[in-house]
Amino acid sequence: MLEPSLEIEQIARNALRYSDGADAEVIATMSENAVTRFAENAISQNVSRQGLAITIRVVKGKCTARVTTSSIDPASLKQAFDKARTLVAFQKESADILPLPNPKPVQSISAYESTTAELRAEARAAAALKAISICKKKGLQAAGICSTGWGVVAVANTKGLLASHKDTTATFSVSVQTGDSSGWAEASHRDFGEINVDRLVAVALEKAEASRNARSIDPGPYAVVLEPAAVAEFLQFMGWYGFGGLGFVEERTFMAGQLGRRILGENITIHDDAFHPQQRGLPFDFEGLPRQPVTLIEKGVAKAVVHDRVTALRANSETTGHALPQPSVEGPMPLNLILAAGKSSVEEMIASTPRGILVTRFHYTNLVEPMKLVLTGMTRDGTFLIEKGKVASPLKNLRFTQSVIEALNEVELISRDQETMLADWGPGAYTVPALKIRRFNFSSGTEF
Amino acid sequence: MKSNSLTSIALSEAKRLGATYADIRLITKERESIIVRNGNIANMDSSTSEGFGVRVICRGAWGFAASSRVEESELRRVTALAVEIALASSTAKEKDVVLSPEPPAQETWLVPSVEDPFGVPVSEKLELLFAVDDILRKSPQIRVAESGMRFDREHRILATSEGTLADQRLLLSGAGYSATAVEGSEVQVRSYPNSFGGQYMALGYELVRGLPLLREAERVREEALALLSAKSCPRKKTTLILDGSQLALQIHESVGHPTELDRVLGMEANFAGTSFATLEKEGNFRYGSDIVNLYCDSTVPGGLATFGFDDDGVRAQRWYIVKNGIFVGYQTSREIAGLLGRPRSTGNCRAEDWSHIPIIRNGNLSLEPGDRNLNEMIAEVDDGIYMETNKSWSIDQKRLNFQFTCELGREIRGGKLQDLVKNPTYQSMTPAFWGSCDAIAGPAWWTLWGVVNCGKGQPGQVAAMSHGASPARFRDIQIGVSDEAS
Repeated sequence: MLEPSLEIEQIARNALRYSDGADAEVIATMSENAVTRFAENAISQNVSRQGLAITIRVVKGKCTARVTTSSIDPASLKQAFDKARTLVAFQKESADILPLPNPKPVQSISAYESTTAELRAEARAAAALKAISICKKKGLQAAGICSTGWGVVAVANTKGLLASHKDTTATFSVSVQTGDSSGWAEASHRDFGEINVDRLVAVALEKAEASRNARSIDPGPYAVVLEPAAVAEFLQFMGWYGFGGLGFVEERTFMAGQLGRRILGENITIHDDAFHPQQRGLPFDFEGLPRQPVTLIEKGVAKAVVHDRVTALRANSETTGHALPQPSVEGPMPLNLILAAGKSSVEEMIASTPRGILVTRFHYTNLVEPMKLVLTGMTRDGTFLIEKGKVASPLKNLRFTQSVIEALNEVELISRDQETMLADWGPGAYTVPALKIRRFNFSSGTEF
Repeated sequence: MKSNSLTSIALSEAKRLGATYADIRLITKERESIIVRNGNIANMDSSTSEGFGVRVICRGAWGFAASSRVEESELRRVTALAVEIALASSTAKEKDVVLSPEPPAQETWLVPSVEDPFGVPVSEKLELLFAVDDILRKSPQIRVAESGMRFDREHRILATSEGTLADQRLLLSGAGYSATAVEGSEVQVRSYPNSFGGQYMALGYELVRGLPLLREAERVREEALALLSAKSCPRKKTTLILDGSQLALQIHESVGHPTELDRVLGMEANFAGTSFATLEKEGNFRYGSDIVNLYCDSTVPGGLATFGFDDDGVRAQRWYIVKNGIFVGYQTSREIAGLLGRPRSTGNCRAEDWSHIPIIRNGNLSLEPGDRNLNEMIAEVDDGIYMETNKSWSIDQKRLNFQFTCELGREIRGGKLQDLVKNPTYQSMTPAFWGSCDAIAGPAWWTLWGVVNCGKGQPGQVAAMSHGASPARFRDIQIGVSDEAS
């Protein structure tokens, strides 16, 4: 068996042989992902899947079409190219369709741990059992996942471009339920051996125990201490609805027309950087061009958005190597966002708060208004009232409805420690500190 | 190799390796997706995904493995892996998995359709989308005009060690568009026939031909423009009338998910959450007012969760979730029904594709139409608001506190629809909300709306289902939350 990167490169190169003289691009992906899921103190689902997908794209002048297949036999590949050529033939010319790019050097990122890639079900079950046995002894319920996997991707085109990358990922997530409360902790790393399962279980358990007999509090504006998982949600929505080049050139995001202006607090700096040590980024984009680190916000000032070649052309700028598969309805996206660390700690944030709310994480956050980035969502798995610099009591969960732009103008303290959280859906990772925000709006409450 | 040979290999291999139950799903899924955006073709995709998933029970525990390489050696490898995984699961089990009984069936089933959407020339589809695009972009304030179509067809073969062989051919068609208007710091969007891509049904191209896509485009554009200067949503408690498409998502989030029995039993506690609709409430809890009747129907024509058999091999059924306002039923799988000793699964166990394990999913859950005339429902309101088309949604992990924003609102004053309202938002608690329902429009206003973006599970799976609803009226609902906060 070939080494995964070499195998995927070979598959991509081989697929291009069927282009029959057309300008063509191939994105080939291969992955194996296993998830051991536990709930109610037992393994409830336990799955593994291995998949391969080849997306070929034919470009003819200002026309293009994509065809994806999961088969790499010659007949399937030939059929895919035939289909793409047929679809291209039907098309009107589109101004946004550019010629395929020429190759550019791509810096590699080491993100593959063979021990994680080869981890068996028995080892994942053992990690789940750790959480289960600790909770069982205390009469509590554990739920969560232990997942491991590997993936390889190659982008190649008929102009000689060929880039590939392989990575592994492991996640352990645990919720502890007491009956009237819950606690949660999660960590992800490219190396399963770097995940401290015992510590995560201890954190979730401590939050669950501390959340028993939660009381209600009136909704309204409060000072908040947001742990990293909560802060990550902000970056996720900023990435989707603000830092991409398409919304920027169409003037429908909070970054539109703001470059060079201060839009966030002076203590806020946000980068996109696939090469950050806590990230596991892809070093090239889905056209195979090198992904560059981009400073999006520097000391509160809007500095840049990420571009692909299409939005760069419209913005009279250069691509930053953030293309999604072309053509893209969503436009370029930052997938490795980092909110710069500060000098504080969660403990110091609590100690400096006369009255406020400590939030572990948010649930089901969604966009209400794009220009001020108003989000709404619920707190979950550990919400606490802070009084006189101490955690005073657990609170029933609250709904927030708040502009992220306004909130990031009210940041008082930033932690020196950062955690990296994976996106709930789709690609993306967010390296974030905890934040203390002076004023944050909770709009309603719930029964638990 | 033929499909029956492949399924036989997996089932016999699973048995040889000690499985007490096994099933294999062999699936081929094709999709065609076209998006026209601002006069350009922004997406012209055709995809085919083929693969299989093997699910086994060994020593009373589940294992599942899947692969896209449909060949004998891979079938044997994957089946052995599923057994290995099941044995690992058995080291952390509380009880043996017991499946509720279901008679084996050997049947074929297909979505009836008039016109194969894959047979309609792409040029014809593009012509319609560009015509819509032209109308939407007649104003320079429309910064994004996006119109699209999507068609899925799926060949799904399920073979089980109990003797079931279900050979099903599913079909989905969808079309719709949106116009995004921008002026200064104001961004407003209007969609047709629904947001997030439009309307989707288990039909052929006749769905597209039946939608007045061209006729409605001018109205959609003008409403997007008018919203730019519309008044903000007032903050107050008032009477709320929701259109059917928004109500469909309301049903999905506040009735569908909380009545998935796996959530109720804590199986989703780490991710999607649990449910307030706990077991002791079944049969006696007041979920809504007397006029609220909600039923699940896997047989309804055009439903995206309409099938012959679910991925447990359970035949399609119709049953009530809420009857005369009382909570009377759940959505189940064979595993969860078996765990509770129930005589039969409701047949809600479905997987996104070959690569995922089947889990309990929302079915075609609908609100029965009432007997009211929508115009009369509005005429009876002195002071209230009408909202239509979902823009965003959020609900707590037990499915109680929710907050929705719609694309468009209209004040109701003196029994008439009045001024346009932008970013209309409402917030409530599930039982209180459904309990406040005092009027539901009749069958003439009832539509089966398709939802194609329902996410659940780890690893995440996306499923499609439909929810039928006609507009309904709710009293004393909090509106205007977002405006104050922003």
